[in-house]
Amino acid sequence: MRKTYLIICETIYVECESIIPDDMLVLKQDFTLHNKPDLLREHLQEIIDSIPGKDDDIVLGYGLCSNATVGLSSKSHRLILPRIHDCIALFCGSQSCYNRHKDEAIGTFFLTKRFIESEDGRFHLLEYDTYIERYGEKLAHKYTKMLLTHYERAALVDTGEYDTAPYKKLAQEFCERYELDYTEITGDQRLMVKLFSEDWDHEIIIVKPGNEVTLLDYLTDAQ
Amino acid sequence: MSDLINKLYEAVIEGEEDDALEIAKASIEAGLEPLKVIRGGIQAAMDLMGDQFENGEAFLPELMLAGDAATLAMEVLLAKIKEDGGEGADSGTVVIGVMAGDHHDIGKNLVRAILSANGFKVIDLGIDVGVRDFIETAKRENAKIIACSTLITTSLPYQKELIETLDAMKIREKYQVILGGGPVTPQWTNMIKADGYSNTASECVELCKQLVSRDLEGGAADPIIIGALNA
Ligand code: B12
Repeated sequence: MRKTYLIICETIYVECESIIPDDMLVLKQDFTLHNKPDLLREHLQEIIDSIPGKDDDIVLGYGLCSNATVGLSSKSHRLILPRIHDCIALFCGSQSCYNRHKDEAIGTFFLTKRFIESEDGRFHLLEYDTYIERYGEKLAHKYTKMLLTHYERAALVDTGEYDTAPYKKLAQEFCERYELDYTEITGDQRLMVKLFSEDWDHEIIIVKPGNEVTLLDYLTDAQ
Repeated sequence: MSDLINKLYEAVIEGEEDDALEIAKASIEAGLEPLKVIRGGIQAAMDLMGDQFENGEAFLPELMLAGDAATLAMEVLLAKIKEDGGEGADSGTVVIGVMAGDHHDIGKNLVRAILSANGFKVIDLGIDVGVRDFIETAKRENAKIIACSTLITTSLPYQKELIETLDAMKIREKYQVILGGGPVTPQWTNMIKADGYSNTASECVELCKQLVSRDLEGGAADPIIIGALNA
């Protein structure tokens, strides 16, 4: 029987844990590479290459992420990817819904559990934990403010996967500290459901064995 | 090298805005040649910070602070060059901005700083800049180069739109459109028929120099690509 592997970013995994089919072979990846697209691409290709067998499906729980997925290919398996630019589109339910939220206020910073809290439970919004270690509290605060110069609001996206109350509180405190408006967005797991369901249409990219993911796959209007 | 130039180099690396400004002023009073001070004290420091950021030794805030310190120091030095009617202050005019839908401006600010340091007059339109804005400004300022930065792939199509709009207005040959920012690649540059791409801010200087001096009488030329590492 054909197997389905799922290579997925931890940030996305925590938003869809409960809807991943039991028979999928999940290869969860940590979030740290997301700011290094070239390294992320190398890493993903290594994992794809390590998958044995032939004619199985490899689903990637990743957006385009600054071209991190461009050039990926598998000699033996199909690659299946959501046609989205970054993970926030998955949380909103579609790329177009994400675009609408962004158009409402361009200076929006989107938040979910993993943007706020690391796997080991530290507050790491905008790498705050690393900044504190490196610069001390006062400078860490100053630098975070500097990063957020053009931002007006932060929006917590609630995909319904877990209780957001603790993150709400942290996000609100963060907004107060950095003088941002706080809003909430009702997310939607529909695109994640579709990705896991094999009910694939224009919102999903399917790459045949031997072919590569291209930038143009993402720049179609079919979103 | 002069002690003041070394001090400026240190101040820029440390991101000490006030110190950088004071040292730049002191260098003028001491009669040092502003262009030399810019190259040795500012550009060299920004090149180092760029490298350190690439290999993970420096963090974003450090890069941003260095960029700010460089910009401040440069303003007084450029003013001095202009006052003296000196050379190097007129390599050409560049209109720069971050494409619509995008708020990431750290890279664009570095490009602006380094181009100014090399005698280009840079008009900075900031973030979230519409296609029309780029074109209107380039016309008004008589700019030869339009520099488009984007870090968000959903904004890449606006770079294409800019070129198509110039085409439709039949003024494409008046401008050299150059592209940069994280997800921009040489392939993309070729595909949308832009005029140039560079991978880093310092390579952008060479790019602009080559572009302003190229002769387009004979029609369109291939884009100039500098420092394409990835993709
Ligand atoms: C810093 C950063 C931020 C900062 C921005 C601060 C600021 N004032 O700019 C903050 C934290 C605020 C932020 C916010 C967001 N970000 Co952000 N961010 C980054 C990050 C980590 C680094 C970008 C950067 O500054 N690099 C350093 C500079 C120096 O590099 P550079 O810009 O490429 O510039 C160099 C060259 O490219 C060149 N260059 C630059 N411009 C030009 C122009 C020309 C003409 C030329 C020739 C050369 C040139 O010169 C520069 C120096 O050598 C990237 C990841 C990455 N590695 O790219 C994500 C990234 C760009 N962000 C991303 C996202 C998703 C967001 C958010 C939507 C996240 C959220 N949770 O809400 C928001 C909102 C963005 C919005 N509406 O614009 C994604 C984009 C995905 C996509 N769709 O394409 C990335 C890729 C991260 C990821 N993998 O998810 N971000």
